[in-house]
Amino acid sequence: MPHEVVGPSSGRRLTKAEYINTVSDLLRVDLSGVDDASTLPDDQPATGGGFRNDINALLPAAVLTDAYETLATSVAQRVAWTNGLADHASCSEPTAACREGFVRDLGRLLYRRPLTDNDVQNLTPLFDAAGPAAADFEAGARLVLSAMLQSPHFLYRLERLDNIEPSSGKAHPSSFEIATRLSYFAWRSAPSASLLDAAAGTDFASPTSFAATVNTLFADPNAERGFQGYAEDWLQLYRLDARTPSLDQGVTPALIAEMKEETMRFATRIALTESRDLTALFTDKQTELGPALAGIYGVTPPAQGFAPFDLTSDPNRIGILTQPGFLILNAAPERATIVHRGLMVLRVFECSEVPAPPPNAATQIDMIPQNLTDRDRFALHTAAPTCKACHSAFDPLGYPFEPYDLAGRFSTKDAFGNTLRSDGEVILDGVARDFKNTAEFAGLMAQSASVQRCLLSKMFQYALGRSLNDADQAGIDDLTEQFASAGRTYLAGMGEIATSPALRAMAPTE
Amino acid sequence: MTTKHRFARRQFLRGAGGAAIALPFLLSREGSTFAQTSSAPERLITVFFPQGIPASLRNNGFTGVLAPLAPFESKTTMVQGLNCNADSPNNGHSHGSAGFACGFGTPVLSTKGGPSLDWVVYQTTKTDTFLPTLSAGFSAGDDIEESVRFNHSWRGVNQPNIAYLDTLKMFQGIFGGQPMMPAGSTVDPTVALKARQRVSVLDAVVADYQHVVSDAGGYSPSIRNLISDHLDTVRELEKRAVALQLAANGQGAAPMIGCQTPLQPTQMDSILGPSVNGLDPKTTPYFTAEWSIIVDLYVLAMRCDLVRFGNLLCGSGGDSYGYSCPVGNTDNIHSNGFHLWANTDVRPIVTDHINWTMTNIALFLSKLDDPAFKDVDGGTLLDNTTVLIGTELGDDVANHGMTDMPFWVVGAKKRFKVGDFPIQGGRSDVELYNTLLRGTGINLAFGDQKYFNDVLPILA
Repeated sequence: MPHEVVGPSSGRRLTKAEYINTVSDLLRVDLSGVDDASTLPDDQPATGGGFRNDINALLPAAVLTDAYETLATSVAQRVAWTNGLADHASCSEPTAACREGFVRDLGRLLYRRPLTDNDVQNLTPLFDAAGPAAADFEAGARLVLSAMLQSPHFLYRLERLDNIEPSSGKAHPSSFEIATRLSYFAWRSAPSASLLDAAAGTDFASPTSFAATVNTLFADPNAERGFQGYAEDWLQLYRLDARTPSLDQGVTPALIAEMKEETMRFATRIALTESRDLTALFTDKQTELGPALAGIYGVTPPAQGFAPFDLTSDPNRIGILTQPGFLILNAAPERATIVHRGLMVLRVFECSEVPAPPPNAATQIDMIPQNLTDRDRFALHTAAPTCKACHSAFDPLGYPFEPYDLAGRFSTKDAFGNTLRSDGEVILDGVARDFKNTAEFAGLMAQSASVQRCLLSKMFQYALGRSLNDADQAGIDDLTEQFASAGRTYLAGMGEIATSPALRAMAPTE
Repeated sequence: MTTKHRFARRQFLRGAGGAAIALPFLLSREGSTFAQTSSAPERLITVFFPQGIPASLRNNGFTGVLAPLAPFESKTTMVQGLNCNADSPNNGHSHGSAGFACGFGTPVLSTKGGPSLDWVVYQTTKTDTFLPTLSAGFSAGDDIEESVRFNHSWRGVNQPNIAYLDTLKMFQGIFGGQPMMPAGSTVDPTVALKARQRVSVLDAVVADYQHVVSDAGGYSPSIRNLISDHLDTVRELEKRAVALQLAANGQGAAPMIGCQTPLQPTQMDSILGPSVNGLDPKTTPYFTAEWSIIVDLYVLAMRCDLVRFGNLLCGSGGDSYGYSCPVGNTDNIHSNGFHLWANTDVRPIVTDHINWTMTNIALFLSKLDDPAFKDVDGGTLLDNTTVLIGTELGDDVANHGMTDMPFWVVGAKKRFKVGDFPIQGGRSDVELYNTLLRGTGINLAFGDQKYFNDVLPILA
């Protein structure tokens, strides 16, 4: 039975990363340096999902508007004229035709669609502001660029309601809007000129042509940047950028940077370089380590930079779950707990959430003596029925990680001499399952149907730029089946989502 | 939109006959409308600090942890005993942070549930300053997905006035990198041209936003609302650009006495750094040093009448960081400090931390109260500014209590009774906010009216 299909959110502002990538790709101006990049405030993740491309996290603000103007002015001055902006001008005389030609050509790229007459009428007077002479054309063109970079058509992914499909009489996204959805999904950046050309063609929407377009997008080198952008949000690695160092526990800024890099390299290898089943993220025993991180793993540091390490002989290291970059996420500055880690597993890999705690929930655990193991402390804490209902859902997911300290070092005893355990019982796919150690837990995660569904579901949420709702679930079920059939690779999942009905459906209604 | 329409709008911005509209920092007191009235303009600044103060530390007047506020006792209304009823999807820190200066709970922590007090007074008084509001402060950066914990000035749902946490960004936001050019200054043609072109660009940008918002745009109501919110901020930017264009043409008025662009400050960002003079971000010595710069910039902006409304953030709700003081240390003032208030070994450290917070806030008050900078009626800026100080937790800080919330109202044109007012009967913070508005002459229903019965008995 056909199910309801709801498309991605419309009206999303470009994220900071999308803005920087877009300017780099379309204008060849690099804003990734700290002086430029820090002009824009960092985006914050939306609550309930962690993705920073969620429309609920992309609010306008005066501080942003000021930053957009600063950057637009800077980019307009820095962009090359020859082999740059001039490529969009077929002539440079002070005539209406030359001006309009430039505005339409550049605007098509920056607005990601052909310009309307209204757009052109709004922008061409800026040539007059630069001056009437032929020599002023370049200055005028730079003013036009500055205005375009501050336009809502550049800064937001706006989708119109008045594109009516003749056969159904209903509104649907235009081919340019769909091309924009695809490119920001795959590349975290704007459509290229060639993708816009494809969108302008009459054959763009045909299944064969569309699938070919999607394949081209994911075969492009920009797809790696797209994956890393996705992974940074999916795995919440951006949190490490602002992580508080804990110097007394050896968690230095250099170590934190290596933690992020290890996990990003690991995920990129599994997902792209080797294009493996994504459940290998839980079970793979190879990694790459820098000198600071090697100390945490207890291996000989590489002479310089990152080097590959085979962890097959280490029973306590397996996959992403035992990587310090994951273990430290969401932990307090002074210690990590099974609760923090269990919640991360629940949210990131089980796509589940728990109700809001009572107002004083977080404080009660601090009253329990700290010389007990985490497991014992939380057993006392959750003895009360009001606590147990929720903690039973995520504490067991943190049990396998008790032997890992804040920095991710493995130890069988804590500072009080207590023996640390990694065994336990979890409920996965509705069935209680025992595990003897972290490796067994990782294996259970890899085999879990709900975890496998979650791998796909997170990609889908990222594609839609909004929280998932009941109407999305049937589509996710369908995609999960296809995902499994195709070997659960990242590219298979992304390709299926990109060609799914949802990516071509209208945005949610008001 | 046609060029003709745009010109008409720009004429409006410049005022009839080409005269500058009242952009106060470009005006001398002698020549401005502002100066011709003997009454000071309305100002309201909220100051937020995290973690609350146990009641036992605030029942002996301005002594102990509150001693830093003692110099302002004669100008202060202390209100205790209020409940915060705001609800949110997380714990007490989130509830109280969402409710502070807003009076609403929120179903999502990326936004407060309504406009904040400073914004409502700004809008109601039709204030026309260079900046509508200014929000700045420091934060340890925890719970970054909960905007309500560190942004306390809101135009409405989903419309934050994002706080500057970086001193350099704050400086640039206030002073715009532009010199204040008094009337009659030598005109630099290059500067004047750039200023004119900037206005032209913004003119085109505004027209673009207006088209999207209009019926002709073809967009959904939600997109139109979103873009309309953005448009408001572009218009504010354009207004400042017009003012600077006039100044660049030598048509600006003289800056106010004692009002000069300061030197660019040392860059400090409480979360991202850089480290400065051996101080690392997310540490209290760093917060102290950054706060000093922020307060200087903030007060200068007020002295120059660039802004009259906003929020100062003296830490985010539920911030976690280490704290060291002569009586002891903790690796986390939040979970191993405030949460353990019952532990007598920990109490002195928490007490010292609260004193540190109050000292920070007192620095702001003292600079506003500097008698060297008199307002139009001869009073200090503090006398004529409503400063509302508050926090996210009530008495039982260890358990995220939301009852017996403390507030301090300082200055406020003597509209409120001076003294300590322990309010009985489970009254709410919403009633305090509405009382402040009534005292200001604003009869609007503010915050969640479920929790408003009557004004509090503090009106003078």
